[in-house]
Amino acid sequence: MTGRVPARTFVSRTVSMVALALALASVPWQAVPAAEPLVSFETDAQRERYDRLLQEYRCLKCQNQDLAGSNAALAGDLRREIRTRIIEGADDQVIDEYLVARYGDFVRYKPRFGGINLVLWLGPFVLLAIGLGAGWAMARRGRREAVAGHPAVAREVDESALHEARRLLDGR
Amino acid sequence: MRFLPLLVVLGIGAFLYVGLSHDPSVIPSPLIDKPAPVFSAERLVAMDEPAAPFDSETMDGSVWLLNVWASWCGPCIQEHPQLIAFAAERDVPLVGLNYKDQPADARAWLARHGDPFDTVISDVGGDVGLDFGVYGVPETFVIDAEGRVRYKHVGPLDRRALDELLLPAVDALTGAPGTGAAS
Repeated sequence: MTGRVPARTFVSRTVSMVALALALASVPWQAVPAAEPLVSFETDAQRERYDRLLQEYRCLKCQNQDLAGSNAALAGDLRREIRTRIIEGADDQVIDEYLVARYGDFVRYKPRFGGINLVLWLGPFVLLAIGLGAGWAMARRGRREAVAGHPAVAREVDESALHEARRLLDGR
Repeated sequence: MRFLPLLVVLGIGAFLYVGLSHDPSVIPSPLIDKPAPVFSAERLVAMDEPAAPFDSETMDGSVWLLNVWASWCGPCIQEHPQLIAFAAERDVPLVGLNYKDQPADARAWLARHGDPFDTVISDVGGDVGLDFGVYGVPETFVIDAEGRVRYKHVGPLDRRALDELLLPAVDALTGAPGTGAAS
């Protein structure tokens, strides 16, 4: 019996470990403190815009993080620039143009609809349409062949009959 | 039409293969063929020298290189021999942008590794770098006589990148390849 954990203890341990894991997992990752002290704004609306914009742009240094979540120095610089512009009263479009002019479309998480990006936006639907079209064509052919019996033989008979018909019609 | 599925698979395969060979850390610059940001900033000068401002518009009329570097940047050491070679092989102004660095550290670094730059701009706050869309160091910009950015290299220049990418880009603008050619 040495070393064996009684069943009840095992169950309660498992339960408490799962509970701990869930508690840790529920801590939002945004809670990780940013590299700089909390930024201040005069109004809540400015703060909301700031928080929203930081999630719309990418940190180019660590590409899968947005500006809000990145500790890279570049992300800090861009947060500062965005904050300055919000306080100056710049609208979203001005801030967007500022970032895109320097870092290109890639800085936006949501690509612009237009130009080469149309491939990105519409490509999946085009591929889906091609796939559905091909599936439909194959299903239709399958059904026709099922009706006509053995497809290869049927086509062969058809071809020779046509040839014969043409010969007779041409009178040769 | 029998081979259509095969062609489709090969097409997708080729597309994905090309995708594999792309370096995701290299982001195309929106500045290419656009006017380079106009800026003025302090030059990096020796301790006992007076402050000297640099105005990017003074470069108008000549093809020049802007190399973003810093003393804290490891890959810059790797790149440095290529910059020294460039300065020796081409008569094209090489301007260094000392990005987010302390002037004292920058001076010590140049004293140790050699100074190929015609001018070094001290960008302690990183503002000039921000306007150029710098997101990593080193980066190198080729700017033409009209002040437009014509080429951008992200990451350290190795000898091959220098010979196959940077020098051809510069020579195409100056129209004067070869050692010691005048611009």
